[in-house]
Parts: sequence; structure tokens; C-alpha cells
Amino acid sequence: MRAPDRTTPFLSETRTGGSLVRRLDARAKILGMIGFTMVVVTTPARAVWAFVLYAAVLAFLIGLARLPLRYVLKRALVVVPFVLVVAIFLPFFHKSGAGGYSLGGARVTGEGLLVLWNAGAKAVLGVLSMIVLGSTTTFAEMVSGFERLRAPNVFILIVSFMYRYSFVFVEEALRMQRAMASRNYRARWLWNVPTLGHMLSALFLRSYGRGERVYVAMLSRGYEGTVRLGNGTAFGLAETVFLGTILGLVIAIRVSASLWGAG
Amino acid sequence: MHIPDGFVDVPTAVATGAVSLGVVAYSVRRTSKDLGERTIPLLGVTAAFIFAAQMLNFPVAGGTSGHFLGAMLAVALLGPWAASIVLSVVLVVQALGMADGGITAMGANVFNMGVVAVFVGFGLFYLLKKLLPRTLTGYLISLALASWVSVVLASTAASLELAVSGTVPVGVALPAMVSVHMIIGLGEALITTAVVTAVLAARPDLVNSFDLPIEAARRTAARPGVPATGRTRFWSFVVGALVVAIALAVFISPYASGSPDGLERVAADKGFETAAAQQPVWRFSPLGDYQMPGVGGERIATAVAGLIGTVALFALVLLLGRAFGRRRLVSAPQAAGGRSELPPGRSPDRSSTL
Amino acid sequence: MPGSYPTLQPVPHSPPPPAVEARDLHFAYPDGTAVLRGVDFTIQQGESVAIIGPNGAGKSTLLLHLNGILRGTGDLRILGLPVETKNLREIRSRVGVVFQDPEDQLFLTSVAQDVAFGPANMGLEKDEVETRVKDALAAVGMGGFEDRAAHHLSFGQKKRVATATVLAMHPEVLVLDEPSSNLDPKARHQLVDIVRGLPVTKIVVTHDLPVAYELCERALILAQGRIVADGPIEAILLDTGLLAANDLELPHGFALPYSLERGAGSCSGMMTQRMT
Repeated sequence: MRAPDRTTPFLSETRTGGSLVRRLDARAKILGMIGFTMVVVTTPARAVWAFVLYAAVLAFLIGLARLPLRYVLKRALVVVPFVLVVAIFLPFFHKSGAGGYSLGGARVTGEGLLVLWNAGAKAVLGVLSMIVLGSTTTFAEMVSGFERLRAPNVFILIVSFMYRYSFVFVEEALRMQRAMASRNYRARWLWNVPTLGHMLSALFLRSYGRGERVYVAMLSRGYEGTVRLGNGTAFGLAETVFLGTILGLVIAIRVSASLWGAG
Repeated sequence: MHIPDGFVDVPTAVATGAVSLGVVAYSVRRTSKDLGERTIPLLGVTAAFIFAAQMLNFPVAGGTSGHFLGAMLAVALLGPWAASIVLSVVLVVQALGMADGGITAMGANVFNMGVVAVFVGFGLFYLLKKLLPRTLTGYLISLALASWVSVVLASTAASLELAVSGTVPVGVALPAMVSVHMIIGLGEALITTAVVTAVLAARPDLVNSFDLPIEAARRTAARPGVPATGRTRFWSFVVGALVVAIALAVFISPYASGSPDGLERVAADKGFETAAAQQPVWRFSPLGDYQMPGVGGERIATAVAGLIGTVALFALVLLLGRAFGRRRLVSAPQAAGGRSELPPGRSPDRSSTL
Repeated sequence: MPGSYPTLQPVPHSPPPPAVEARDLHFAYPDGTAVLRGVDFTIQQGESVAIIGPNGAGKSTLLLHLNGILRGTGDLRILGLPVETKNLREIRSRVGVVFQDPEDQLFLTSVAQDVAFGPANMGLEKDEVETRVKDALAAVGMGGFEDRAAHHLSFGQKKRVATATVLAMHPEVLVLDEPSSNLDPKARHQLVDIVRGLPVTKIVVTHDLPVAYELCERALILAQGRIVADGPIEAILLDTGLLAANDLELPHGFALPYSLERGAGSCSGMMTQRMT
């Protein structure tokens, strides 16, 4: 099975996939993965084993969704720079305090490492859960899901247009970057920002022109302020089982972490 | 600048989330009333633009890179309410689709980039427009400064949230983040001003915040997209701002090196033991709870330094602006009378007008 | 007695209103640039009319008046309805405009949604909307593409889907803005075939004269904001002087099939006249 396209934010439309997760109504996946993340984040960092269990749940999901592991892990790398920042600042935290390790000249306490673990584990799990969501749901399904979860109409509309035209603009931006590169442009220092500014000006004007023409086309087809987008699948037994299982598992882990925590 | 999950603790996430939700909900109401359904496509397009533009990183100091935020661009073109919606939409899509920014940190991210950057930026912009001469130059300077401030403040808010959550130590992280973003902010100012200048030259009717007579917008460039006067003024602005930013960085770092010692002192004094942590370690409570003038003073000092820096920058740029602002531009071809060619950007055969 | 009862006369039913009736139409941009400076013409229902003219003449501006996007001064009636806010909804459901760039008209996430947009806005029931979507896509040869994303289609395909988005509304008047621009010959033929078969009033705004000839019986030349010529399309296109005076010309070597009898779009050539 071909890995989902990395450049598009959501599952690209042509991707076929037979996994069970793929076929679920988006609402279940949205609620499930967001719920998952929220429960994970409230978990005290000391309960390290809880996070291992969370990761296991995710691994199960990733397998169920038949997502290629390398693809998932590669996309999860986005979180690395942030974790590195936390790691770098650790020695500045508590120079005194109980315990501690010395790495080079810097001293890192056990508490400090806990901070790193807290931030790192949660960030990684959060990212992975979003990857699962994004890789098993097309944009149209996502929008429809949110619409049926009663997201404000303005948001749905803006998101729909934004998606449509972000492809156009990314293409344009890449085209411009290539044109600049082929003319030996290498952005070195801040002085080259004015060029970027001109590029973005052109990009913006084009987008504005398009926005206006789109509006004209909409009016011409009777648009009067609301858009009733298509329907989708029903929230049936499979969805209930999915949502119930995911939330049930993570809540159970979370509660256990509180009860038998600081293991 | 997008904060991942787990980097802000639950109280911070909830607090910022509540504020963001309230503000955005109100913005939705305000936008529907004031601007009408006409602007929804334009909002989408601006959101797409900011989304795409944020993917372009520009290098800062030959090692790190920054990205465009776009809050003040949205404000200049759409007004603050619509701008906050646009930024929120961009952030939500980035979090859900690209795992850029955590779900639980959404409240904080929207707060930083969709509320603080937008509304404080707007407030400053509005104020400066009143204080500075009511010319195109004054308008652009106000915009540039507000853009710079929006980035600095957004990063400041982010650092404070991270610090309050105990993820990074405020004494070091805040100055580091802020000074880097003072430089990134220059890029933001330049880009925002360049884009708005171009739009003003082509379609001044689109710039919501431009409250000067339309002819003033035309005088901006011989060709659309090229801020002709801008050149000299921007160079002086950049030079001046850089000097100030560097000076601030130099002055702030003594505070940075001082802080850990201050914190250490506190830890020792209070016998600070965090063994019982069920929460992320080392809660850095809001200022009001602090009994320790030393530590409280450090934070205030950092904040005040930032404030002084901003004011100093403003004063400096104001002086520079006054000095170079006299210079008048090559007047555009469509000075009074010449209607033989269509105004720039208007080509009815492309149905680009309404 | 035969003569004592009044004979029942059939009530004369009034002729259908013209598709478009414009009297002294003026329009200027907010900055004062005048574009339409007194446009007069009438198009009856069922006609197929080309509006040709050089760039900058105001063709697109005029086009935007036909469904009330732009409102100028003067008198303009569409299907008998004056172009006023209260009539816009009806006018827009009966006048379909296919714009030049399909990208502007495909703005939802799937083809089916885009085609359904118009009918849905008309308040039709879900089943009816679905039927119309299917029929419209079939009519343009894009049946089966319902779930595709618009941005994955080729230009010609996008053009056809854009046409379908309008056809799904079952318009009585079909307005086409530069229908042939950027189309390769095959796509051009397809589009012409699709449009030619539609039993609607057709207004084609273009500077592609061969396509105008293929689709239309009558031509109006719009120049400097006014209608400067109005007549059967052969007459207009054969008048090289008239064309040249308005910065128009037929493609080099284009032979205008000259037909003495004019069927609906048929070009049975009996004489050909070489254009230099």
C-alpha cells in the first residue's frame, strides 16, 4: 500500500485503503484521537509505564490502520526540535536539588529529566495521534465531520476555501523558489527578505484576485451566505466500538496512573 | 512558534483555551455582522496565503530560521476580528493536518498568534496611525512597527506559557526566545509592509485598515509591488532596528545569567522539594503569589526591558521616519487625467473586478 | 343562431420576454473609469449570440451585468425581470454563467459537491440534487467523476466540470466567457459539441471568432463601451473592414464556410470565401 502523500496535509483523495479505520466515520476518529491526546496530556509524567501503554494503544491503531511505520515515524520527527530545546535548557533549571547527573559541565537533576520526559512523551504521543487521524481521513471527510460536530459555519467555509487554494499557493510558492534558485539566489542573511517580500506580494495579489473571482462564481450559482456541504457516513456500531474502546482504554490507563501512579 | 502537546500544563492550556475561545467566538459574530458574507471567500484566500507563506522559512543569523506569522498582514487587510478567525483556522488546520502545534496546546497557540499578536498588534497599529503623520509613510511605519511587536509579543507569550508550565526556565528561555524573535520580527515587518504596499498600489479598496484618501495609496509606487520610496526607508529602518535589537540582546543577557542564580537562591531558601509532583515539576506561579521580591523582580525586569526596548525602537524608527519621510516619490503614471490605460490590477477581461 | 353567440376567441398569449434587453446601459468603476457607455441591444430567447470585441472593450464587465453581479445605470431586463436585488435569486437560477477560468468555479472539495452547489442553493431536495449532478456530469462526459477532487483534473476536464456546475441548475440562458481559451483542439471540439446541443439561449463572450462562428448565429461587436455592430454572424465576420476597425481579425487562412441556409450551427458549405 502506497504511503500517504507527505506534502498534503490530509490523506490525498486518490489513496485507496481498505483498513477498518479508514472506513470509519470521521467524527469517531476526530473525537477518539483528540480525546486520546487530552487524556494523555493530563497524565502525570511520573507514571512512565502509563505512557508505554499509551504508545501500545497507538501502535495497535497504527497497525489497524495499516499505516507504514516508517512513514509515521518520519512525520513524527517534527517534534524533535522542540524537545531538543527543552533538553538544552534543562541544566538551567535546578542547579541544586536532590540527585542529579553531570553531563559535561552541566548538571541535570532527576526533576529536570522528568520535565524532559513529560514534554517529550506527550508531544510525541500527541503528534502520533494526529498523524493517525490525518492519515486515515480525507480532507472532505474531516470537514464534514467537524460540520456535523457543529463547528461554526464560518470556520467550515474558510477551511474549505483555504484547503482548495493552499495547493495553488504552495505550487506557486515552490515555483517562485525554484525560479529564484535557478537564478542563483541563495537566501543568506536578513537582507534578502525584501525579495521574499516581493514574492509574497505577488502571491498575495494573485490570491486576492482569485478570491474575488471565486466569489463571483459562487454568487452566480445562487450563493447567499450558507453552504450546505455534502453528507457523509453514519455513526454506527463500528464507530461506537472504536470510540468506546479507545477512550475506555486511555481513561482506564489514566485512572490507574492516578491510583497507582508514581511507580 | 507552534507549541506541541505536553509543553504547556493543563491549567495554562485551559486558561489560554478559554480566552481564545471567547475571543474567536466573538470575532465570528463580529465578522458576520460587519463584513457580511461577501468576505468569506476573501477570508479563505487570506488564510490560504498565510498558510502557504508560513511554510516559507527565511534564515536568521545563518543558522536558525524563522517563519512568517501573518497576524498583522491579516489585520491590515481584514481588520482584527476577521484576522483572528483567519489565524485560528490556519492554526487548527496545521495542528490537525500537519501535526504542527499540539491539540491540547491549541488554546495557547491561538492565544499567542491569533489573539495577542492580532489584537495587541492592532491596538498598537491604531495608536501609531493616530500619532504619526497621516500620510502613506506614517501608515507604513505604523504597520511595520506593529508587525514587529506582534511577533515579539507572540513569542513572549509563548515563552511565558512554557515557563509557567515548568517546561523551560523563564530566566533563560524568555530572553533567548524573545531576542531571536526580535530579529524574526524584522522579517515580518518587511514582508507585511511589502505585501500591503503592493496591495495598496493595485487595489487600495481592499485594505480594510487604510483610512487615508485613495490617492495616497497610488503615490506609493511607480510599479505595483515595488515600494519605491520604501527602499531607502526600509534600509534605514532595518539598520536602526538591528542596532537596537543587538543592543537589547547584549543588555538582556546579563539578566539571563543572573536569573538561574536567583532561582537557585529561592530553591535553597525554600527547601524547594518537588518530590511529591503529581504535576509537572516546579510550578512557577503567577506573579501575584510571589513573596520573593528577588525572583519577582527578575521577571519584571525582563518584561520591562522588553518594553523599554520596544519603546526605544519605536522612538528610533520614528526619528528615522521623520528624517527620510520627506522624500517624495516618482508619481505614478495615473496622475490626474491619464485614463488611457486601465489602473493597475484592473483587467476586466479577467473578471478580476467587482 | 350562428351569429348570436359571441365567438370564443383564443386569448392571445403574450410573447415570451426577451432573454436580455439592455437600454442605455452605463457602468463605471468606483475610481471613475467608464467602461460601458450606453449599451443597447436585445436578445430573444432561443437565440445564440456572440459578443465579440477587443480586450478592454468591456465584454467581461457587460457579462457580469447579465446576472446582476455588477449593476450599472440604465435599463436592463433579464427574461423580463429588471435587475434588482429582489429579482437576483431568480435571475441567477435562470441565467447560468460559465466563467473563463474553471479554477474559479471549482471551490469545494469534490466534483460532486461543486456540481451540487448550484442546485442546493436553489433549495432543491437531496434526491433531485443528486439526479441533477449525475445528469449534468453525464452531459459533459464526466460521469463517474463525482468523488474526485477538482484539483486533480486536467484543464479540459475542469472546464467540463465547471460547465456541469452551471448546467445542473437547468438555466434558460447560458452565458459563456471565453469558452475556448486554453483548450486543446480535442477539448475545444468536445465543449462545442456539448454546448451546441443545448436548447437554451446562448450568449458567448469571446474574441475567438471561429468558435463564435461555430456556436452562434448572431454577433454583437462591443467596442469602447458601446455596441458598434449587430447582425448575422456571417455578415460581421465577412466584413474585414469592420473587424479591423475594432482590432479584430480572423485567424490567418481561416476559411469561413459560407452557407446560404443556416441551420442550428450546421455549416453546410456551398461556397467558400477566402479571407486574406
